[in-house]
Amino acid sequence: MPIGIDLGSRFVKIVQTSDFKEFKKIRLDTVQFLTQRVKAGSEKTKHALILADLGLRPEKSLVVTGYGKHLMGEKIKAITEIRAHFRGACFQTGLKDFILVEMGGQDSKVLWVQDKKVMDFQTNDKCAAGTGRYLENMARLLNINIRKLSRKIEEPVQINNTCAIFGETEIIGFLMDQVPLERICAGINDSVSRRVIQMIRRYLPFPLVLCGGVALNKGVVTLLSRRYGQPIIIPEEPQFNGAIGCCLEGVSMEKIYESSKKGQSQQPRNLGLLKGKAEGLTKDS
Amino acid sequence: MKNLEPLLEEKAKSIGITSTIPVEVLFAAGRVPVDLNNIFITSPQAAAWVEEAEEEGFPRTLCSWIKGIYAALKHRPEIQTVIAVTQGDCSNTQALTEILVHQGIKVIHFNYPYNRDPALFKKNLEELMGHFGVSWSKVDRIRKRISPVRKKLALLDRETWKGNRVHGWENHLFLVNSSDFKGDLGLYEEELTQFLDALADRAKIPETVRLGYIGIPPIHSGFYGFIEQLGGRVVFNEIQRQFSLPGFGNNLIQQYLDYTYPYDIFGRIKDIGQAVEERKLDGLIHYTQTFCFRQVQDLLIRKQLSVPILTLEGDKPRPIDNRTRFRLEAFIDVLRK
Ligand code: SF4
Repeated sequence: MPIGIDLGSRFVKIVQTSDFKEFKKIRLDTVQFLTQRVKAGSEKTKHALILADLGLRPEKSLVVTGYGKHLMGEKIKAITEIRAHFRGACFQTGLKDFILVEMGGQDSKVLWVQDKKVMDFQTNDKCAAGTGRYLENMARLLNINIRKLSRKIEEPVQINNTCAIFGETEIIGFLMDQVPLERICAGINDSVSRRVIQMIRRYLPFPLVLCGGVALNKGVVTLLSRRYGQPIIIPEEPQFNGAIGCCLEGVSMEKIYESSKKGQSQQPRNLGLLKGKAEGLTKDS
Repeated sequence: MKNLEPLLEEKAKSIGITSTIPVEVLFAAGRVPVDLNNIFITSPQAAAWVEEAEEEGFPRTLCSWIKGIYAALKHRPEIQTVIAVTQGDCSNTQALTEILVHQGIKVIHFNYPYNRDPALFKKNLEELMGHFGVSWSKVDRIRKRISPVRKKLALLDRETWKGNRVHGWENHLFLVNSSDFKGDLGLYEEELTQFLDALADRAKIPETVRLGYIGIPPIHSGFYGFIEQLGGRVVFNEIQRQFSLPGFGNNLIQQYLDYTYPYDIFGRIKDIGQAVEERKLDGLIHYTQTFCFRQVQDLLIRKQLSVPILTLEGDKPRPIDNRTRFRLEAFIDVLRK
């Protein structure tokens, strides 16, 4: 049973599955995970201790991705987030051509996938604009619950700065002008959607798949699909997409291992066979 | 100051070049071509040189190669004449030559006609020959002398992508140095021949992710080694290969009209496209220099070639930075089958 771990900057996402139909999912706060669970242990046993702690049996096919991917010990197979999200999204959506936007806690990524190949990708790790943290900061600034903020879509004010810091200044200006809070919230959601559009404008208008925590923000998704002129595809597990990609990688590893044992070809089989779930998974905003 | 005696003797002989030019002319005239880009980038002080130029007033928002060439000349006082490519390279080079002239360096301009007009090219070439007082027969003799060396470079290139015995950086080094043959054709040829002879004993480099490197040579160091650490290998160095004039036109003029670098992007795209097919490349790395007009061409390259492309940008000469490492890692990771 492969295990995939996406060790992100805000949350650690863990997935275990035997059939790729049922997924055991665990989500932990990264800071807590680092301070409480990543115990000193030998390089060999560290990951086993952590998994046992979570009630998971350590498996051969454990694959890790994310910022902290090397924390599980050198012996554990680590893949880049780009590969993990690519594989996760191909599987979750069943699409061959798409644009994947992954908006996590601290950074965002865009992948341009054509014919099941990543033709190009961009990463935004230098600025918080359009990330989960941006939304969190804004909610804190306005002193409202982030879930409440995420529902607002009507009459968005135009926030010109996608920069998190300057955006705050603009918002204070709106408050001083007594603009209704709803409109400011909608404006914040809209500015995130605008940021996404900026990142994908250069590509052909392929279906847009949104992953990561921001995909759960209904306001952003609605406003984004308005701007994009197409429904946005949210996979069933937007937050666990990277971890699912890791599980798929684990399966490939096992296959290579098995076939090399039997002296067969080293070529991993294409995992297209796992895509049966696609239709049920995709849903429009 | 260095001992000037031997330097003065060299003075009349060494001719700096800012980019690849018909080097046959210089050899025919008994001069020593010195590619200033190579002097700059192989200097352990390269980064400091860029700063020196900035301290003298070169803008920070200017390509580092220009500043590097400028500083290279300061550190090689024996070079008093420079051939500058002012059409077929960039307007920054043109401004650089104006500063050089002001400083008393003799500048000879060489132009590649944008429209690849053979008659115009011939005229420009003959002008260059006139500067050095060499005849066609002399130049042709040198062409015949260099021709087997160019063929050997083609062999080395084949051994890179087909024989799979040559590392990406070895391919890069030999090809990039073919712009001036390190100033000593005989020695260069000897090194190349020895290298090729030794290949027979080499095992094939295991098949991994096959990459093409396009764009001007990297200003970063550690580039090729890092790619191989990740399980990738560069089996096509676009511009470096062009420096070796792989076209083999049956006369000098044709040879330099087939050279893709100084003309429009479409010739380059065609050449790259052929390499993608023939060399079975999994992806391309497009290196672009900060503040270089060639960054704009990235758009067209992406539009016209349907192969995964990672665009990298480099500014100052230094080991590749973490962000570039991270992006290379992700790129090779997604190309793995
Ligand atoms: S890298 Fe670009 S800007 Fe710099 S010298 Fe070359 S052509 Fe000119």
